[in-house]
Amino acid sequence: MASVLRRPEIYIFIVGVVMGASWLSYFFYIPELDATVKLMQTWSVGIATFALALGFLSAARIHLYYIKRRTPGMWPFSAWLLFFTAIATIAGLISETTGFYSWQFKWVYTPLGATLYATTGFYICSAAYRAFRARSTEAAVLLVAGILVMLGNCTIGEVLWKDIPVINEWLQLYGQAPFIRAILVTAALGLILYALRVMVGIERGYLGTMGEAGGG
Amino acid sequence: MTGAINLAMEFVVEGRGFQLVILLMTAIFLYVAHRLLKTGKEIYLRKLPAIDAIEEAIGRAAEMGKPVHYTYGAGGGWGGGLASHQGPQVVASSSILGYVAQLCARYDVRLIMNMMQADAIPLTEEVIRLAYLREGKPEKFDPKIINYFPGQSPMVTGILGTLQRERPAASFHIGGLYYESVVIGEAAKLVDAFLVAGTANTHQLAFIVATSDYVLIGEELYAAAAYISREPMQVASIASEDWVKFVLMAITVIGIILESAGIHVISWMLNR
Repeated sequence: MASVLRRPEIYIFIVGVVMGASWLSYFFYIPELDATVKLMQTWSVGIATFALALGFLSAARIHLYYIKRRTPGMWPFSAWLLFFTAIATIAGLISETTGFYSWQFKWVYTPLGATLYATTGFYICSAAYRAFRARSTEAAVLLVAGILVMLGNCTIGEVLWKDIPVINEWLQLYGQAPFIRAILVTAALGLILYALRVMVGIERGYLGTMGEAGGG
Repeated sequence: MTGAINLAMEFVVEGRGFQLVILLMTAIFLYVAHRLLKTGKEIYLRKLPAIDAIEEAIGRAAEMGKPVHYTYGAGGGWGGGLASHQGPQVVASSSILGYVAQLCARYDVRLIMNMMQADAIPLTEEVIRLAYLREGKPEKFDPKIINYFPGQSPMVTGILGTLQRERPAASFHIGGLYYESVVIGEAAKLVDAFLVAGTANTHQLAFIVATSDYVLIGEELYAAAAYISREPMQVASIASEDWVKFVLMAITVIGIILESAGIHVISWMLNR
């Protein structure tokens, strides 16, 4: 029975039926099908929620392993993680809008997340430094455009030359937008083809069943 | 003929007619490209340097005796998970992960997978497990390859730690990337990792181009699995995509001319 359930054809059939129904409902007026597709979408949200428990089990498996093996430099953090997960779960079950759960989310988790997000600025600086080195003609063009846009977004740019904000606006509206749109259109086309391949069972990479060369 | 089209359009949801035409055209082109391949016609498949570089990256890891790191990024990790609009990027990335895992198994390179998509854990585990099985080394597969993080910031912190501790020789950031693209991209560069990144999220493209050695931009992410497999039907799908692009380019040029001349046929067609 287990070997039958592992057969990729079963999953390809389910995926094909679900995707086919979703597409028909998207393109055509079929009220009966709309209700079924909405139900399937609700199921997907339910599955994603249950998957969080799966995520916890996956993480717990690794951290319990570190604790059991007393892995140097790892196990105290693993123990702290599991301890805090237990505390947060109990507090959340008691009340998720008041008390300890709400407090730790507001005053511990959120500021830590914001702090990490703030470091992005420093990483962008170092990435920009490497990207803006004029090693080729293309990089030189990028460098000039980047400097103009940066100056255009700072008040000093207008002080240096009154037309810099105009150039900045032109670069962002007409210099950049067409290329972004071209990438968006081709990405959408790629997605359509990918969906077609998945729906008819040509693309099986996500099932782990690959072609001779691997992949796909 | 017009009557038949109007009758058919009665059943089509308003504003989605042109999308349906594009979908049908894509399917027809896919069939034609496949028929051409079957009759022995050669179809040009442009190179994807990022995919060609994967073997080089894993070979480098094998030579250096260092691990390889892979992540889907944050997309699809919240708000609906795989069913969200970021989900397809994660699924497409899992195909590339299968290829990376297979090469890691072949060259005995340790793979580290960091992710925050809880509903993609079974998919990821199965993809990696089967990759090891294909190489005849199922015993080398360890579920602990996969590290799950329940949020974007925890995942970014975890990846920064992994990169500093393990110092992987190669790092793959492929999927629905958000702000982590620049943070982990730069962190990977700091430990001198060979970096391959790919996303269809246009707001992150500048960052992956700035930080990575090779990039998969937009549609290339979806085409990668087909490119790796080289199966005729998969190759046909890439060729058909290029043909649709030519048709769309032609419609754009004709549209510019006609709209400028005050003839609104194309805009009428797009709104049907």
